[in-house]
Amino acid sequence: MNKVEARRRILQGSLSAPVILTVSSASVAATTSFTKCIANGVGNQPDKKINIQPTTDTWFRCPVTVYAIYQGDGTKNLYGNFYLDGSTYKNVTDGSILPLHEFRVGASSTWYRLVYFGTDGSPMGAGWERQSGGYAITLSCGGSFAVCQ
Amino acid sequence: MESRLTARANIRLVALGDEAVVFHPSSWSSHVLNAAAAAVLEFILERPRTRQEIAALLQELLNAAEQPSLQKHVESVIGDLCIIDLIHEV
Repeated sequence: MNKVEARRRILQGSLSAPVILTVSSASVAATTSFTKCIANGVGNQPDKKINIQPTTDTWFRCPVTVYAIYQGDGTKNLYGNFYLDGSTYKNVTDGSILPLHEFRVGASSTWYRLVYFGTDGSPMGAGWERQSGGYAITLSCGGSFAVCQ
Repeated sequence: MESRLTARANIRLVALGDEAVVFHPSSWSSHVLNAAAAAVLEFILERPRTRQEIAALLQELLNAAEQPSLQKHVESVIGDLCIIDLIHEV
């Protein structure tokens, strides 16, 4: 007689009616809540060309270091504001790559990019303006997790 | 041929004394089964079972007070286990 059969023999004639309870899963509840939060914001996405500098709105953002890039050796001819993507400087306005061979990196400041999320809560990218995939969410929506590094 | 009830693949059952907690990885849901329900699921996990076999098991396990409602309990526990997708009929 195996262990299961032995246990059944002990339990013979002693059990009450079968009952099954479903336990609420915290992760499922969190995912559902997050999905609902994103759905609420779908009709209220930020406009294109949104101001990327710190503002008083509540969109979920990541800080990005932006450098003032000057032509030549001095700091007289400001070429534009760029951020470092790997080893490439990209223009904050249109994402174009810095074409200059001789430039000077000036002062840096912190700007912010909106973070875009899929409906499953995973980050899909970040951008200065509206993206083709994912949705921008508010800080209150994304307050339960940390994405920015 | 009489249909049989078989358990879904990959469900995780953890015995807690005579009771059990079951986790369903597809629905990401967890369920607490009292001793009788756990015995039925365990019975089906061993191999596919007919309704008659499940009825015989519950007849053996349930106390005297539950015996008059035996058939109702059989249908109820099978129905519940099917609804939460722990078992299905083949």
